[in-house]
Amino acid sequence: MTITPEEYVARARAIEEQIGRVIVGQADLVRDVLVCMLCEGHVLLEGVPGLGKTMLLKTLSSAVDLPFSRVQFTPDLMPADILGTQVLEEDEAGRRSFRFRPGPIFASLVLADEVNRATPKTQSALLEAMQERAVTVAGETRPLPRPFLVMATQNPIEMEGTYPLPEAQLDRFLLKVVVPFPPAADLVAVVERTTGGAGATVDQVADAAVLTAMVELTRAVPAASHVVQHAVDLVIATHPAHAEAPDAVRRYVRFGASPRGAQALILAAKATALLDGRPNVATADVRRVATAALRHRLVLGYEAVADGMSADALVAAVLAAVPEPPAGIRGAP
Amino acid sequence: MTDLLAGVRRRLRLAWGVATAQWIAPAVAALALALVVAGRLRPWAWPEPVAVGLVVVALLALVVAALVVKVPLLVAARAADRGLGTGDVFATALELEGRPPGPFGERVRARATDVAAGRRPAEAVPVRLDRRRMGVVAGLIVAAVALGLTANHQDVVRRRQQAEQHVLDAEADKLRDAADELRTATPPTPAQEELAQRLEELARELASAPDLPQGREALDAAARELAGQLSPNLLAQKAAVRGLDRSLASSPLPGAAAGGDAANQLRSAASALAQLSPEERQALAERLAAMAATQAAGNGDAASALSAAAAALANGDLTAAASALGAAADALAAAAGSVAGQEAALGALSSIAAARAALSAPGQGQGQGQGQGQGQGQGQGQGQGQGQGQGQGQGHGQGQGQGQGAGGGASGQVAGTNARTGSGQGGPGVAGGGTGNNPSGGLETATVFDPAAGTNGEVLNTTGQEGEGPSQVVGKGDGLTLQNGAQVPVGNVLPRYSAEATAALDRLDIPPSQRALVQSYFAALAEGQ
Repeated sequence: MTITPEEYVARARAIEEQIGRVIVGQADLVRDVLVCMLCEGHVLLEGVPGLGKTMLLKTLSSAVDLPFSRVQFTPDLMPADILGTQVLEEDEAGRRSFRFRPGPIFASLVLADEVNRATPKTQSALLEAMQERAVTVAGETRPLPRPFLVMATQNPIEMEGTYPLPEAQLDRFLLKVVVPFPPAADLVAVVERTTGGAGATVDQVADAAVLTAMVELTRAVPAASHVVQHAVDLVIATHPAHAEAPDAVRRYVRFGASPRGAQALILAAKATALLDGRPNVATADVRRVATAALRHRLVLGYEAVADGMSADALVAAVLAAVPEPPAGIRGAP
Repeated sequence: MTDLLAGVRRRLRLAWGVATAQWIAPAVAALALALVVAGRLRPWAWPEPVAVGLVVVALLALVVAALVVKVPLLVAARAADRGLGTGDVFATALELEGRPPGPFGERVRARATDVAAGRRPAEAVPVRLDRRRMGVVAGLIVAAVALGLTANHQDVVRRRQQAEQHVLDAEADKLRDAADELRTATPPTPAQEELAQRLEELARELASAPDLPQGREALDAAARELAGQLSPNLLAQKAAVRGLDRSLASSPLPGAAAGGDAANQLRSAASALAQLSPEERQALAERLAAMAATQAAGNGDAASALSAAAAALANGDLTAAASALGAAADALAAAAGSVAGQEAALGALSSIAAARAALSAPGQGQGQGQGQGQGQGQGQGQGQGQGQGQGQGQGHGQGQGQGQGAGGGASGQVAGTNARTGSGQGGPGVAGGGTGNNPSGGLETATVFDPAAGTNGEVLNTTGQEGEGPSQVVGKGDGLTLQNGAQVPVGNVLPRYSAEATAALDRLDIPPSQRALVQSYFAALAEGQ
């Protein structure tokens, strides 16, 4: 199945509209989550409890006709609880055999709620699934359905009983979206909407085929060479040992973004451009998604924690240090 | 889109040119102003043309550089993208050209075309002027132009220097011509060749002299050098040699053919002594004695030899007489060579003096403010008997020279006066001529003052007139030439005086009428003798 850019935009807006029936405001948040879905990239939502993270992802899964599963991560959650396990079964003839019972990971949309509450062992169970889109259990690798994306949430303030996600896993999230506290007007609407009678219903406006076609179309969006170069420059500038790194990066960052950061920048920029109705990526698209694509890929040092320096501020410093590539000829304004 | 990008390309060249001009213009303008100011401070002709050339060259170089600077189409596309805020659609469209058509290729091109419609290159690439910087540049340029248009005192200095150099070159050419004449007039003797080389060397020094004073110094040095080569007895030598030549040319010695010079006639006479009769030998002896007397002042060797020959001949010793005549011939030949060489030196000195006078002349018209000069002149008054001689000296430089000579005295004594006044540098005075009566007797017995035999006259320092400049003029001239008792018979000095007068006639500054007068005067004297 193929889809035109116009249909792409129409479908995306339809999904946004369906989400908007449940989620009040948060247009940027919804757009970022949608971008991840259109890139088939995993998204990590971070916010304090009650901001609608889970609701957003559940609504998104309701708007598309895709297999959906939700995993509530807890400290006692085991990898098999996510991936699935071999169970011993006995048939009518009395013969016993192992049969693989897929876990909740075998879905197109996997909601990993409060992902940082599981132990690192369980968190690591997601690594192969998120990167390879396959699961290996009992020596057998089983592909996951496509499209496949993990939508995880985490709470930044509950330190007790939480396990920070390892860098390798964080790197596998296309974007890390910080859920802001809604403005007062939106909060009023939220209260009114959630304290009334029947809740809003969400229609399914896309299925797997449509979503797969949209993902393919996203990847087909052309990006000029200088745009790709700009994404690479941004990633390089996050490395403290690099000459182009700003002073803040040199001081506070231990490790910069991986090459996945540059890939995430371009992919997310492609989806952003397409959602804006443009057939090509602009440097502005790259810069717009830079914070969400790079903030979770920076490994900060203890000085950053001591000085209260956030990853977002460091990405802002990188953006300031690496302006848009110059245009014109040397010497001309 | 293509048209827009072509326009953006041109616009980028313009923007590059303007931006670059704003960087280099202050330096160029400052340098041009500095050059113009330098042209005001130093008498250089090149600063102002160089300043103009610098500006023109910088402008041309900038234009050429702007025309040839590479502006790839992709660069123009990116500039247009940024200037028009197109979201990099132009650059993307260009990069998609030549690639396999994807789902977005045509859409990107279509969007680029839509975005380009109705847009102007000036919107994409604005040309920004740094007003403060350009204001500084304009100020510098205006200052330079204003300075260039106002009167420049250094122009006068330059013109004067050019005129001086022209004079130096012209005089150098004349010296070269004089050197050529020395080489081409007759087969040059080594002395003449040396003189010619010295004149050419002097011409080179003159041509390379930075100004007139240094040119004059070179000339003065050369003149001193050549003057040192002259014998103080040159006039006597010349008179003796030439007088004897003329005398023997009109009345050859016995046994010698007419027309030969004195040395040859003496040798011929020596070889013919045996064929002479006793009377002829006696007559020859007397004549040789007379000839010895004429050579006594200018050519002592020849005089001695002639006297010895006369004595030997009178005693009948033909061998000794022949030997003495040979010695006299050798002495005369040597004296003739010496006189010729010194005459050549005199000619060179004359050329140098003429050049010296020419180098001094420009100071006369343009020497205002220098106010320094020297009055120096040499005048010589000659007279015989009662008469008055007047000579005129030539003054060069700012001053004027004037010489007067007067002679008087019953016994033919001459008292010459030479007064010279003036400022500036005086040239050599020209001998004055005088006529007068001599009531005391014939020329044979008359005596006459011989400056060469006596001592120099009193030297007086004369005060010159004050020049126009701040310095006081100091003049120096020879004072009265006093009679100092050096009285000699007229016959002794007549050949020398005649030769000097003949040499003086060669000078161009003596009017032809005066030449005839002098020639007739000495011819009359010779006839009287």
